[in-house]
Amino acid sequence: MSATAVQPEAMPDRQESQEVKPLIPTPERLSELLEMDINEVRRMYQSATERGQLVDQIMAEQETLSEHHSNIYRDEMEELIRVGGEQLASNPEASLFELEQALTEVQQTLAAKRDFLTETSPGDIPEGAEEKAALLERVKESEVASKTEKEKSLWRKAWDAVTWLPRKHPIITTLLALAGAAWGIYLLWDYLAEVIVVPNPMEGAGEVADTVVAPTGGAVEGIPQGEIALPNSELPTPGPQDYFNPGGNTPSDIFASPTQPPPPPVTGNIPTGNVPTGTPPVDLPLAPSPQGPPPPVPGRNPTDFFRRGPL
Amino acid sequence: MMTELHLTATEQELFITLPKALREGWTVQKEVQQFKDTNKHLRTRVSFIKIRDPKLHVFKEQIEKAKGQKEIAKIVGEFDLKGVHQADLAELFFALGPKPLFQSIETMLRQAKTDEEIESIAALSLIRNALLRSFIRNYV
Repeated sequence: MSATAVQPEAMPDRQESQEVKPLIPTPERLSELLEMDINEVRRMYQSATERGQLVDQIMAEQETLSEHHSNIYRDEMEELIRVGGEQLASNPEASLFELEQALTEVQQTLAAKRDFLTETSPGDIPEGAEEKAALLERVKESEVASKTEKEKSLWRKAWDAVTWLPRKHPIITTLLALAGAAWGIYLLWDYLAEVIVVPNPMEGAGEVADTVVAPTGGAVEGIPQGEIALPNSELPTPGPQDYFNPGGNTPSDIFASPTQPPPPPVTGNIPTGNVPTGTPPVDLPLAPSPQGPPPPVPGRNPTDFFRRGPL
Repeated sequence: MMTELHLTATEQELFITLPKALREGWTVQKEVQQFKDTNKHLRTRVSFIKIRDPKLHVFKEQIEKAKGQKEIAKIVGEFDLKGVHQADLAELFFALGPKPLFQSIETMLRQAKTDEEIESIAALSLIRNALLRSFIRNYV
């Protein structure tokens, strides 16, 4: 982690009470909570068809469990048990510590996402989405929720203003690349790798399996090899001189070849079993420096800025 | 209505150098939250992106059918976020995290010339503020 300074409004809730903590649903913990045999729990945990029953049993105890745990929500339990189950299925020797580490990372991510979405766009979850009722319920509970119509209106305006950014604005391009990456369109990872330091899965499917949790936003598909011109086949690799070329920041440049050709693309589904475990986190440097940014270079635009290297 | 900008000390210094006409009507709030993101967090966030908007799904299909990088770049460069569901924008910004917004806001402040650009900066600063709050609360 990570927080280096916290303003008063951002103090974590969990510090207010040592009692209420997130539930990290390892088989051992579930066995204890649900008073079930550990081997039975492990079997159900690793079965895609039986995990739902474990979630049902947790939710049946929601009221009681919520007295001690802050995350007893069906969708969150489903995700955590899915990730944990897939991790165990692919690596039965994973230690309890490794599993807890992986699930904690997922739990924190889901909690942060819940807070952010409930603050910024709860009313925009499409009708019929299974999460809607749960999300809206959380909005009522959440202290970070938009409390007034005025605040909701503020967010509507803010999202509108984002769409006013030029189509080729680096933020827009990065958002689209993120979407592509989430869909498993590996070529777009090259751009992300330049911008926000995300290693390209094509450079090692094994590494991806070790470090990337299975996407939940749709099928994960590789692009058939023949349909994409691989690096060095079409476009020149940008050199440092390109970073300062105001005319050279078209999307073509942005998506130009990485510095070395990747191995053949992985097609089909990414192995979903492993979640981040032993991979040491690579900290990103803080963006703003106390001394402020370097002086602007005449003629550079935001795209130039992004193309200088990792953020 | 957006009337506030959440700016770091450095960004505030840039803001006050803008023409008075551009600064009028805005209240500046000091952004003091900081968060050091990690690859692990980023990868996990990306893996939990959920996209629902049909427009983005069409975009996905176009990318998948594209023949070559030039075509992909063209599709990306021509894609218009207008009309994309706000919840999907929130999903993508959440995956992005606050860090790229620091650099982008700073760069945009150096180049802003129109009210619309200031509004976009205000929007990005508001999003960054909410991202920082949610990250600091939960990534412990």
